[in-house]
Amino acid sequence: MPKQVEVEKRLMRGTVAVAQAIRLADVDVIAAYPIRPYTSVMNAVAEMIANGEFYAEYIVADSEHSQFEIGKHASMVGARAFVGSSGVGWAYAAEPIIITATDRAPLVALVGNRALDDPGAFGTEHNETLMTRDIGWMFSWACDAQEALDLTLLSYRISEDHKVMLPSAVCVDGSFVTHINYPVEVPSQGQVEEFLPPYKPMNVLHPDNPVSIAPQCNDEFVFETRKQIDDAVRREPEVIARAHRDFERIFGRQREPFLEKYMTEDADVVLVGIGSMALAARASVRELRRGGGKVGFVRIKRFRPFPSEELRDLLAGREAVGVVDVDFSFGSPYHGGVLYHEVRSALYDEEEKPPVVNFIAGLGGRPITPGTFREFADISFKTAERGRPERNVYWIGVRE
Amino acid sequence: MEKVVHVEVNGRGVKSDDIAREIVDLIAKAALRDGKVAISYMRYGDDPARVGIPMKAFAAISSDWESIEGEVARYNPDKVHVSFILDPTLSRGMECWAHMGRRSVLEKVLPGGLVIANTAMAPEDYLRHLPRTDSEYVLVTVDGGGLERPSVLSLLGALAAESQVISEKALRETLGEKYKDLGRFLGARRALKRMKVPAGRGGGPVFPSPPPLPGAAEMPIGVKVPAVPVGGRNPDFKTGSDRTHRPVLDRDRCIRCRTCWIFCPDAAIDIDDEGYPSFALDYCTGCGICAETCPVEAVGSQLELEAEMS
Repeated sequence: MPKQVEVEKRLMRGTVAVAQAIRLADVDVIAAYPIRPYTSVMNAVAEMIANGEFYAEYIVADSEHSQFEIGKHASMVGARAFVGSSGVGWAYAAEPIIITATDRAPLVALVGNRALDDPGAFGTEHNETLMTRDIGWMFSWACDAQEALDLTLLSYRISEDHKVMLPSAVCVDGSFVTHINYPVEVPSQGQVEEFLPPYKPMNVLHPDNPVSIAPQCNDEFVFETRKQIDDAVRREPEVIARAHRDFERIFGRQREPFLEKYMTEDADVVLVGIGSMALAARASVRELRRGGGKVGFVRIKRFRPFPSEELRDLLAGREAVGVVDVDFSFGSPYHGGVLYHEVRSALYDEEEKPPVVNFIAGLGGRPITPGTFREFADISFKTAERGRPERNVYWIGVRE
Repeated sequence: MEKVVHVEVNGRGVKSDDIAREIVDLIAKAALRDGKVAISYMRYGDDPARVGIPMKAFAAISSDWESIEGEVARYNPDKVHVSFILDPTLSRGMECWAHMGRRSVLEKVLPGGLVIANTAMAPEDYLRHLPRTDSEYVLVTVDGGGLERPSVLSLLGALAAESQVISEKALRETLGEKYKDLGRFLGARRALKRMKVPAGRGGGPVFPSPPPLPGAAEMPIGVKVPAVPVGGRNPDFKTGSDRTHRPVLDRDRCIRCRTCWIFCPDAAIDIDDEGYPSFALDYCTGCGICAETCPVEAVGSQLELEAEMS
């Protein structure tokens, strides 16, 4: 029996915060396979189970491919399930990751963002997540341990909604969120139970109701299954917004579901980013503001579904927008990053399109500091003065 | 002549799928020799690696590439001008591996089209097995030598004799690159029999319309379909059209041992109240394993078209 705990602030790493959310969500099946930085969440969960803090079926798989298969199958037979991985581990699981969405299993995964090999590196890049961006998973990005806990709970609530029934990944930057101790408010079991009802699968696999899942079919049916996912994805924003309203009512946190806007109200220049860079961004914006620069920062909290309307409303009419990518998309339009393309595309129909510049930064986990943000801001202000970008894409912090 | 002429060949997996392909490839090559442009292809949804499963191959011919472009990215043409039937038992229906239900072998034949069937039967006799059509067509039969390995030369000889789609010269030259003896090609004109089939004729099976396909909102989510209940069979996917021969039980010999029931790979055998096997002919693919495994040689085999007549 989970014990009732009072809300208290404790110091914990992002991965441990996620493990706390797993306990509070009373997850039934956990499939695990180690890869840093995800490993520390599987360790934390294993420790809690070993200590009798909660019970779950805990399966160590022979690879990420099997791990995600186990999670998907558990989810489809009615268990609340949890998996996770990082970098090449996520890539190796790509096949079951895809099928988890097409088979509509509301699995929740943690992605500890890590650079894809080679060279082997532990640090953050977002490419492993972004290579699975188009298949029907929801992706949210936490900027600290508290948000990692919150988004894990929110993910179960949103994924398991029968209007959605699609998997979610909570993305946390390797080291910066996963391995730094933050003060975290751990909610009580009672709060979580109020927020997160038990998982009710739509079609339980059961001998009384035999179904055939994922048969071979051709163009007569495949197109319609894609349409079903498209329909569900279009319903997600409403479900997400409602979940956030309930979350705020019950826990008193997580106001904005899609964007964190920091000093953007009167900003001429807005920088756009994702993940843990937000902390340095806020520090930098405060400092630049003291020098009179009207700059703001917006953090995209959810990459899928992409908050197009929210961004358009926020960014239209600004003097310049700078998008920070901790990823690469070699050979893409103007050789820019993935987030840059998404933001730029969302603004395309706006009459008051701001000039948009792109900063590729932090690759391989190289820290993005307030100093790095000053460089982003400098270039963005120059772009504002000129009224159009001098160059589309800048690699910032790389040794030329 | 319309801008694009379509030719189809109906065959059976493993038994004649290579011949079907050879015919459409040779037609396309001969068309090029005629100074036309052409493509040839197999129906992608078929699985011709399965023994006996009905399959189709196509050629499309035109005088210019531009008019053929719109015909390329398809699984099959809407209608065909010429249709070959390599195995007369295909009159019992064509079931694609994809979900189309069992369809008439003449489904795609245009009004006034040409059907060339490989059979020793006269057209009048074969027409008793063919499905009824809403429009007229020309039925040609030619004895291409056997159910499973018909002669490409005889069939293309019949095409040269009955159609201007490709010149006889181009076909002969194209075949001459591969075959030394063109006797069967040249002799087909004399060997074939033809009749003009008026609309509304044909004594073969009647095919229901294909089941309507559900919209995205009607389909269960998550790529799920209701399973066939235990002991039942799939009403929408019948494999009996794979069969050229059907099993026949000699009840005097049968010892009711159920060996055939155990070995049937398609679970197409039921045991009747008296303990004898009965064959579910909608699903039996005619593979012959029941006959092979029977310890007392109680299972024989009968040609489908003979069974239809008896």
